Amino acid sequence: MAKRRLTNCTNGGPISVHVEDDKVTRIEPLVIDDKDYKSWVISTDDGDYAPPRKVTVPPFVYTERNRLYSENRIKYPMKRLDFDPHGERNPENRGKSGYERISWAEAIDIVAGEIQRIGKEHGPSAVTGMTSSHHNWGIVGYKMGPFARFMEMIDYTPILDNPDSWEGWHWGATHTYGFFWRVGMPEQYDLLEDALKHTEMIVFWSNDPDSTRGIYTGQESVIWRQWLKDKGIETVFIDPFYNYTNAAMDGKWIPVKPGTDTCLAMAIAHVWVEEDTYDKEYVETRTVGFEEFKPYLLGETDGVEKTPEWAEQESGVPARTIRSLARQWASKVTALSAGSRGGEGGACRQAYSTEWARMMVLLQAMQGLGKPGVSIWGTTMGAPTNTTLWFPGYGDPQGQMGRSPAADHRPQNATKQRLYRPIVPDAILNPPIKWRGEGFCNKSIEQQFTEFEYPMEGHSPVKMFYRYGGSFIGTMLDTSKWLRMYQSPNLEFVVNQDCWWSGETGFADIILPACTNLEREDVGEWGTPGGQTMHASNGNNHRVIVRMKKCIDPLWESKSDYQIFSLIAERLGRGEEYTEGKTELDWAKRFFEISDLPKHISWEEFDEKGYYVVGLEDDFKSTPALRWFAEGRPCDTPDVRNPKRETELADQLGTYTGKIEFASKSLRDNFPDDEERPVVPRYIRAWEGEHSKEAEQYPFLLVSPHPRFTFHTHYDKHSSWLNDIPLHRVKINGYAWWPVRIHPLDAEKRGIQDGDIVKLFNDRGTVLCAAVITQRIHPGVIHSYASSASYDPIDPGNPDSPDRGGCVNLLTSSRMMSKNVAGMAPNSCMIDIAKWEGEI
Amino acid sequence: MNIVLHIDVAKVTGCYSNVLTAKDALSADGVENPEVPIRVEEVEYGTYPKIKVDYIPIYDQGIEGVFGSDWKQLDFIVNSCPAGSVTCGDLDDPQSEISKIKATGDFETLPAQYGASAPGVYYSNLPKRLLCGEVIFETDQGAGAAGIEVSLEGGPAEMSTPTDGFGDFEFKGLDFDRSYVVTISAPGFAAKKFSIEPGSHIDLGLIVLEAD
Repeated sequence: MAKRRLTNCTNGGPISVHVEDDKVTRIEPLVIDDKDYKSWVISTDDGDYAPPRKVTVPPFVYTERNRLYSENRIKYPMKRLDFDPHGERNPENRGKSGYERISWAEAIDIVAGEIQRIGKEHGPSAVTGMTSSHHNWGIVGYKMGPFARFMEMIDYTPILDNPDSWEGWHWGATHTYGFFWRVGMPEQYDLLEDALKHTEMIVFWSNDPDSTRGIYTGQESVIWRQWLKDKGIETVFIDPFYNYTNAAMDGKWIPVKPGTDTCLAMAIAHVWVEEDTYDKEYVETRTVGFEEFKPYLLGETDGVEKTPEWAEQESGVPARTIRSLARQWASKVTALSAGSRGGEGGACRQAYSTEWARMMVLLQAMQGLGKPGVSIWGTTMGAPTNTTLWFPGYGDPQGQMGRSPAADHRPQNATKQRLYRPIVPDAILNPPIKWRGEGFCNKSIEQQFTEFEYPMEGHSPVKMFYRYGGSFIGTMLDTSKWLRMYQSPNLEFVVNQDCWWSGETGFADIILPACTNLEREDVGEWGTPGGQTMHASNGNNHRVIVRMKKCIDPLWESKSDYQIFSLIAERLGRGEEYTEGKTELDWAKRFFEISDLPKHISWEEFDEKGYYVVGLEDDFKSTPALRWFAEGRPCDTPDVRNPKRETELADQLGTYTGKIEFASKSLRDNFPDDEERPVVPRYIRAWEGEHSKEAEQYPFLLVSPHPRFTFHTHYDKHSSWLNDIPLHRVKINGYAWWPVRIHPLDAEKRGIQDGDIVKLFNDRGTVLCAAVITQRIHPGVIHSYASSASYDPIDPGNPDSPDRGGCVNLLTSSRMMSKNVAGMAPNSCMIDIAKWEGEI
Repeated sequence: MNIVLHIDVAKVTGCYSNVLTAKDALSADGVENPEVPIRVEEVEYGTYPKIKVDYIPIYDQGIEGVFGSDWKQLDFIVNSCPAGSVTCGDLDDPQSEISKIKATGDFETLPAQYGASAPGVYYSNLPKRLLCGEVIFETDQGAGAAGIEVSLEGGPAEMSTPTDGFGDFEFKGLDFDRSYVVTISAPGFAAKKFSIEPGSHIDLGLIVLEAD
C-alpha cells in the first residue's frame, strides 16, 4: 500500500504519522506547511521575539509508536479464571488469579448482564465507575465522552475527582483571590510578553516547567525560558530537589524541607513589613485584612515572630538566605512561578498546603500583583494567542458527547449519590464516609463546602466498579487500600477497560481491550482542555486544531471506547439511545460543526489537510493577566468564565469582597473557627512530618513530584524505550528500576551506594527502587517521582507485598489535607530507607 | 563541504528528545529497541547546595554514525531540541552559522574524560572548573553581602565579578590545572585572599569579611 502521512494529536502535542502497509512506520512532530504558520512577534526594547516555526513535543511522544505496538497492550477480552458470574466469584483472588481469553460476545454479555442484575437487585446507583485524571487525546474519545455518556445513561454513582494537581490552590487560594473557575489557578494571558518586557527576577517555587511543561503543551515554552536566561533575568528555585529547570537556567537553588514552604513565605513577608519594602498603596487599595495578617507576622497573635531566624529553625534555610531573597524580591520586579499553571507544584499537595498557596498569592499582593512584570506565572502559558475562535475542549460541556449540543439527546443521571476518588477504598471497605466538596469546583467557591455522605440515604452502596484505566496504584494515596478494596466481597463485579496492562488491570473480573487515538477517528485542539483551563493553548507557540485521523485499524481485538460502550448499550437494548446512529467520524464532524472552525475552513478542507493553524486576530490586543485589577479597572482579559467579567462588578476578583483577602471572608463566613484553614493564613506543622510521631520510626521526608519522562502513567512501562533513559529508570541486571534520589550524607548513614536496590518503607508499604546518590536533594529528604505505571509486587495479589515497580504512592497517607479540606497530601510522608536484602 | 554538528551545552536541558527520535527512526517495527549511537552524559559538580548539572549529548560515532553520510537526515535530530542547542552546518562555508560559532573561540571537541572524541561534533560551554563562595559581613550576618568585588588572578586575564544579592559569587570555565588567587574586598573591611591550587572544583564556603 502507498505510504501515507496522516495527522493525529497526543496529550503532548500534534504529530504526523507515517503509515505503510497498514503499519505505523514513524512518528514526528506535526509537519506544518511553512506558509500556514501565523507566528506572533513580541517587540521589546531589547529586540523582537518570535517563536520557532515548528512543533515541539515532549520527549516521550517520540515513543508513540513503541507505545502503540507495546507488548503491554491488552489484546483480547479476558475473564478471570476463578470468576463465574453465575457461581463463585472469589473476589479475594483478584490480583492473584490468571485470565483466559474470551470472545467479545461473551465479555459484553457478562458486563451487560451484571449491570442489569445489579441494577435489578440493588438499584442503578450500585454501579459506579471511574476514569483516570487524563486520557488519550481527542474530543470524541476523551474520558468525558463515551464513558460519561454511557454511565450517565445508566444512572450510575459518579466518583468525583479530587483536584489533584490543584489541591492547595483550589482549597486555599480561591479564598484569597477567587479564580474558582480556574480551580484556583491565576489567569496567564500575555504574561510571556509581560516578563520579556518588565520582569527582572523569577522565583520558581515548587515548579519544574521543563518536567511538567504546560501540562499538554509539549516543550513549546523551553525557548521562552531560554530567552529569559539570555536576557540575564535572575532565577531562584525553592525546591527540595535541584530540578531540571533549575539546572537549565543555572538558577540559585534554595533547598527547602517539604512541609516548611509556608513558614519560609511568612518570613519573607516579615522582612518586607520590618523593612517597609512592600507595596503599601496596593495592599491598602487592592486587598483587605492586612491589619489582621500583620500581627500574626509580628508574633502579636501567637507569641512567635515569623522572622527569618524562626524560619531557619523550621525550614533549614539559613536566615541570611531568606532575608537576602526577600530583599531582592522587593527591590527587583519579580514574577512568582509557583507551578505549571502559575500555581500547582508539589508543595500544594502537602498537609495544610492551603496556607502555602494562599501565601503565594499574598506575597505577590504585597509586591503589587498585576503591575508590569509582577505576576504569578508558570512560564509555560501566556503566549499571544487568538481567544476568539472557539473550539471545544474536553473540559467544556460542549466538548463532551453526553452534554454537548453536538448530541441530539443528553442523558440526565437520576442518581444523586456520589463517591470521592481519594477515599473510594475507605468508602467501599468501611462505609459510611463523609466529606466536603464537589471535586472540581469550578462553578463557585461554595461548591467546596457541600457535604456528602456515602452511602446516600435511599441509595445502595456500590457493588460494581467499572474502572477505565489503571493508574491509581502509582498516583493515588496509600494505594494498597485500592488493592484491598478490589479483593473485598463488597465489590461483586469489577471491569477494567484500558489500552495497556496497568497496575489495576489484574484486579478485574473482566478485562476489555481499548484502542489508542491512532486507531480511531477524532478531532482535537492541541493543549487546551477548555473548562477550568480556558485558552491553555497559549502555552503553545502556535494554536493548532487537528483532524485526528485513524491511522491503522485497532490492533489485535481492541476496540475504541466508544465502540465498547456502544456494544454494551446495544446489549442493554439502548444502543440507538447511546449512539444516536452516529459513528465516531460523525461525532467528530458534529464537534467541528458546533465550533467556530467552519467560519474559517470547510470540513472537507480540514479533513484533507489534517490541521488548522489559528492566527492572531487582526485587532489582537495584549491584555496582561491581572493588570486590570492592579489598575482598578474592569477585567479586559478574555477570561470568559470569570463570572464578574462584563458586569458592573468587572473590576473585582472572584472573592466575596472582590479584593485579595489576607483575611478570607469566605472562610470567615463558613468556617470561622477552623484552626487548620483559618481566616488568616498560618504556618502549621504537617500532621506527618519531622515533628510528628511517625518521624520517630521513619526519619526521612519523601517527596514524590510529577515525573519528566512520562505523562503521569501514560508512557512509563508502555514505552519500553524510555527505560534506556537513566534519569527515568535505571537498568540493573535487565530490570528497569524506578530511581530514588538520596543525598550522600543519608546514603552514608544507611550504607547505601549508587546503584543499590533499596527499600523505601513505612507502616503503609514497601517499595523497591534503584539508589541514585546525588547532591541534588536536601539531606533528610528522599526524592522519588510519583506515577510509576508498573505495579510489580514480589507476591502478586498480596496488598502488603513489596513492590518492585516503583509505585511510591503505596507509602503515602490517605489522610485529607485538613479538617474541612478533602485534598490529597502525598508530600507529607515519612519513610525510612535501607538496602534491600531480600529476593528480587 | 565539511558538515559538522555543534552543541551549546548551556542550552541543553537533558530531555533526551534526540535519543528517542533516533530510536523511532531506526526501529524497524516500533517494538525493536535499537541501539542508537547517541547518549547523554549527566555531569553534576560543585558542593551542596551550590551545585551545577549539565547534560552533554554525545554522538559516539560522530554524525556519520547515526545515519551514515546522509547528513540531511540529521535535520530531525536538530529540530527535536526544544532549546535550539544543536546546529548543523558546513565548516567550509565561512558564512555559515556554524563557522560564526567557531569564530567565537568556544568550539571544542569532546574532552577525553567523556569518551573518544567523535568526528564532526563540537561543543561550547562544556562544564569546566567551578569556583564559588558566599560573602557576609561580620557586622551584618543576617543577609548576604551584595555587590562586593571578587577578583580572580591566574587565568589568561584577570577577572572580577560582584557578589549577587545573596552574597554569592562564582567563576565558571576555569582550568583544573591552574593556580588562582581570589581576592574579596570591600571598603571598610579587611580584604581576604585565597590561594587555589590546581585540582577540582572549589567552594570557598561562607566568607566573613571583618571590619578593618
